[in-house]
Amino acid sequence: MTSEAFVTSGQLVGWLTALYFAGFLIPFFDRDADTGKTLPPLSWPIRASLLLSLLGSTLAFVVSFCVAFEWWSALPPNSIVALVPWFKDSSIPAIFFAAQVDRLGAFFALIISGFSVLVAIYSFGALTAGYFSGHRRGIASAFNVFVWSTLLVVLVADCISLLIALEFMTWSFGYLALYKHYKEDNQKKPERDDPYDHKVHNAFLAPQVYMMVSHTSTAFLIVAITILGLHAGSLDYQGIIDAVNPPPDIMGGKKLEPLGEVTASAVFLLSLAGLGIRVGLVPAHIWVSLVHPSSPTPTHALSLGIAIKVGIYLMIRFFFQFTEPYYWWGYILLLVASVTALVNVWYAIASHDLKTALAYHSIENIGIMTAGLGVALIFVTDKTTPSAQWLAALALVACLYHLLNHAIFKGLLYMATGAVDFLKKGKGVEYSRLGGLARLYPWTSAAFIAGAFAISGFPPLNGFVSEWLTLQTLLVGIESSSPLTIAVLIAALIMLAVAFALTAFCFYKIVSVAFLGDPRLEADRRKLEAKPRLQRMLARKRTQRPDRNLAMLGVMGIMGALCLFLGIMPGLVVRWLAAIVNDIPRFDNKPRFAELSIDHSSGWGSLSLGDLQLPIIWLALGAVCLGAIGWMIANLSIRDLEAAKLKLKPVKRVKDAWNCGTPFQPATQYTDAAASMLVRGIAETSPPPTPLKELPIAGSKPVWMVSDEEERSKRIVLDDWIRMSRNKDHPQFVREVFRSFYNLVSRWIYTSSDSFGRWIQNGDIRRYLRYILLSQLAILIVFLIFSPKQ
Amino acid sequence: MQEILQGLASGGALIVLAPGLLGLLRLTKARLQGRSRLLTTVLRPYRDLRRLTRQLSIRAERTTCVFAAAPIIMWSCYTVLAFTVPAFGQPPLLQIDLITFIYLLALARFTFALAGMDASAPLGGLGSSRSMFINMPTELALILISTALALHYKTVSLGTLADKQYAEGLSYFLKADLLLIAFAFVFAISLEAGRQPIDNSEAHLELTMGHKAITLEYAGGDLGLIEWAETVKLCVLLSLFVSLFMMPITKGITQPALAIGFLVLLGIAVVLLAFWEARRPKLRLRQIIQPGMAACVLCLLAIIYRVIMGSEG
Repeated sequence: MTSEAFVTSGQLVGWLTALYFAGFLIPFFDRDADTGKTLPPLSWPIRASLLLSLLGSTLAFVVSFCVAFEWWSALPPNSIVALVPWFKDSSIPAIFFAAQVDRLGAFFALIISGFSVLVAIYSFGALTAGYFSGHRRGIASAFNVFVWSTLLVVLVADCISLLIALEFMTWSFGYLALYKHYKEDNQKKPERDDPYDHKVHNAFLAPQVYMMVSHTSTAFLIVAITILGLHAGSLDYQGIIDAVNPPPDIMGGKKLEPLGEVTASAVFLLSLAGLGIRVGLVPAHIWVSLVHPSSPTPTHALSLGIAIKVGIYLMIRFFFQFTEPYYWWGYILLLVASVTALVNVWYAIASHDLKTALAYHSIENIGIMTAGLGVALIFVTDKTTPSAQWLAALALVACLYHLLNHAIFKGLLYMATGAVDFLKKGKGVEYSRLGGLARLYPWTSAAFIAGAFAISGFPPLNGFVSEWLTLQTLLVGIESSSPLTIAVLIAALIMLAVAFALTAFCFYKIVSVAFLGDPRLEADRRKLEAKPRLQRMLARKRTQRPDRNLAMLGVMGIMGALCLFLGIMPGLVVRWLAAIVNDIPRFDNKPRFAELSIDHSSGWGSLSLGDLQLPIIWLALGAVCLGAIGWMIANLSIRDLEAAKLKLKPVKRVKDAWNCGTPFQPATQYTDAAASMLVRGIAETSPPPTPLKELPIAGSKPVWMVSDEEERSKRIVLDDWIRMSRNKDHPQFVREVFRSFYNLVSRWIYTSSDSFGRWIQNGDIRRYLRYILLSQLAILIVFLIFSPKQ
Repeated sequence: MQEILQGLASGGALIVLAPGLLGLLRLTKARLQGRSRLLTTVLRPYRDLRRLTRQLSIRAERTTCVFAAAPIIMWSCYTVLAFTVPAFGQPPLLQIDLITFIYLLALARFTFALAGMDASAPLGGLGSSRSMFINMPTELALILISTALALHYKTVSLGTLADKQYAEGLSYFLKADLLLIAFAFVFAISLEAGRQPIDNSEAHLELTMGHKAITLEYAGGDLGLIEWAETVKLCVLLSLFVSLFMMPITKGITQPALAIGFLVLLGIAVVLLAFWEARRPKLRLRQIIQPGMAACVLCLLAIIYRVIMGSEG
């Protein structure tokens, strides 16, 4: 079945470069004046440029599809080496470039190119928006470079080209984030405490922050790569991999010592720092939500849906192939990942506009994927037990599955958000300006709601399957491992479970505040009231149906269908992903995944992954049948049937919603802050209770008579708590020194213990509950560490 | 073929019996609280259902199809779960695991919460935000319960869990972790079904309503469907509890008697739930976290116990 490909990696990269470079150049012929108007046909250079990027992405898609599905074997690597001409004998290369398309790279190239095909089609619609006027040229050019460099990152096979590709990505995306930079109203600092003002200011900051962050990450990567390269004596991937696992025949005479634990761990930590900053792991998560919402919609979808996942690809390369992992690396990765997921979902709940919330959710999902990587990293080092190896492969499959899913549902959500932005003519996607979109733009809203169901992980859509896989991996891991691992896995499980529940909450908030209910802006309300609902729905003219933009809606439809497909056919997808994971050298000696099931050696339940497909389909069918019965119960009463026999029209009464007896007003709707108030209340600490009695003070005036707050705090000093002996024999000087010393110490102890005591005992019940939980975890850890080995 | 029929019959029986279970719960509570028992009977919920389904539905203005679809999605989620829980001492029709179970429960809650905000009335928003807030401790507690069960039985598949637990027989009372999990499960039932300490399903004042405030906008057949679905949820959760933690008592009994035994135990569980609820005031809103945390701590204790004891305990 596997046959030789008729292109080599070098040829592929060459063709891609030619197409995207042409796509980069052509927009410069455009005379795009800043008219600020929506223009239905784009000018020809913009269209040609988008078409070229579409062609390039299609080419990459076809090739990577054939490789990823094993129709072709991996494309043979190509390298171009040109030595520096004036040092004839030395081997210093002036140009060194190597490309290779293996299964893992092909998988990522498949997602990137498939996604950019969709984004390019979507851009034909989205770029007509008026607020892109004057920027279309730049956006189309930079879009080509961005897609090209992102593809290049996963196609190259040497570290220098990798860094160069990353740099191209940085610059092109930095340029894209620039497009809101020069609007006149965003250079001043926000004065009002309005989220919209802050966002405008963020758009001004975004390019600078992005450049800074990217280059910090590149600096870390350069150090890591230097260490690897010095050790291996080569900078291409194969050389580094050979240095880690020297093959007996190739390396021959020169046997390399493996990297020591300290050096290897340094490489791990450096690359984790570099890649973690790039994907936005805690504590570097802040930049993503600042930068990404500022970029134009089509690339916003591309960058957050896809480009951020390049970091995951590099993590797989760096942690599993370029180094020999140690078990504790996985602990770090897993904990960081779970904290990332948890923290970012909180931020998403607290955020005030759609794009920012989605950006935080992207990082949350990156956290879930990285958690899969972390589990894989923990168990891949356990060479002795076969089930651990199996589990590591399963965890990696869960990671890749979630990556695929996230690309699709998050792409859907971003594109729907972009469509909302498009339809609202770029007037902001803050919740306070939205509401009632489902009635204004039914199709766009349907796409967003489908994406929301998928990302919240509800069956039968795709988010459920990967969340299920991740949780199952953690459960299997808890069953078969050392006590310390169990403690780490349970901590991660708790954090991820809370993150999953909060994701559902966050999307409840987003959908219900932005898409359901009544519009919050007067203009939208007038639009709705202009025509009765039915008439508007049935209006035939295209102009009266604003959200029937075929390019945008079609793409969203495709993505929605993919969400459903990946959700109800998990068995197929898992087998495919397992084959890809098997192709990674560290996982290649595992049993093939034909027998992939949770039913492994130690007798895990009866549910195999291949069979999961069946229950989900049956569940969906059963739910549909029961739903039909439910509909009949609700709508077909005997009286209705009699009415139908008499051919009376069915009566459907519509009444105003119950508003406590007062007429409806849009202002009485729940806002986003009100909806999330209870959940945010868990994280916010209550103000400390007022002290019951005042501290003793020196001085004549009692403390409550001092009016000024600052003055009062200054006067709460503890003078002379410890009185030295009144013995006259002691010299005055010594007595004074000791007195002030002890008093100093006693004051310090008193004030610090007082504040510490108030901090730990603030009378807040939630804090005590946290203590209980923490002490349980502490007991768990202590027992697990010191318990006798069985 | 016979298995399929049996599975269909047991799921259908759970759906049909569910309102009666609620009637029994209300009756017991009324007796315990000294209210007149004339006010309620076991069959009362059936009569309510008949009355509601005969009435015309009223749709609130400014609603979308989310509002119309929510009762049906909720109903189909809960009723499909009735075919996935082991009941009447026999394996369920559809084999799913506890995690899928949790996500299906959350799906129904999520859809219904969306419907609450759809009518754009403040009270729907109040109810739905409270409902989604309760979802968080509930889901955490349920996932930790499945972790603890997985650690003990190496499976989270519902049917297999019930079989293994049944095979334990009475000796499961000697295993501390299983008892802790059972206790945590009781908290989880109250949280998920919105029973008394968490939420008052018989509230009549909007401000004190939790989940029920969403139903304010529904009337007629839709409301009947919602109320039936709620009882099915309670019934499904209780029969899962009975199958996992009470059925081992009946070890040794063969099939026809086993089904009757299951029914009796289900009745006992309902009466016990009524006792648990009767003298318990509703918690304040923010304190709802506490039972969830209590369930989590119990599960963590169970996990610690299992890890320390190894496989022999």
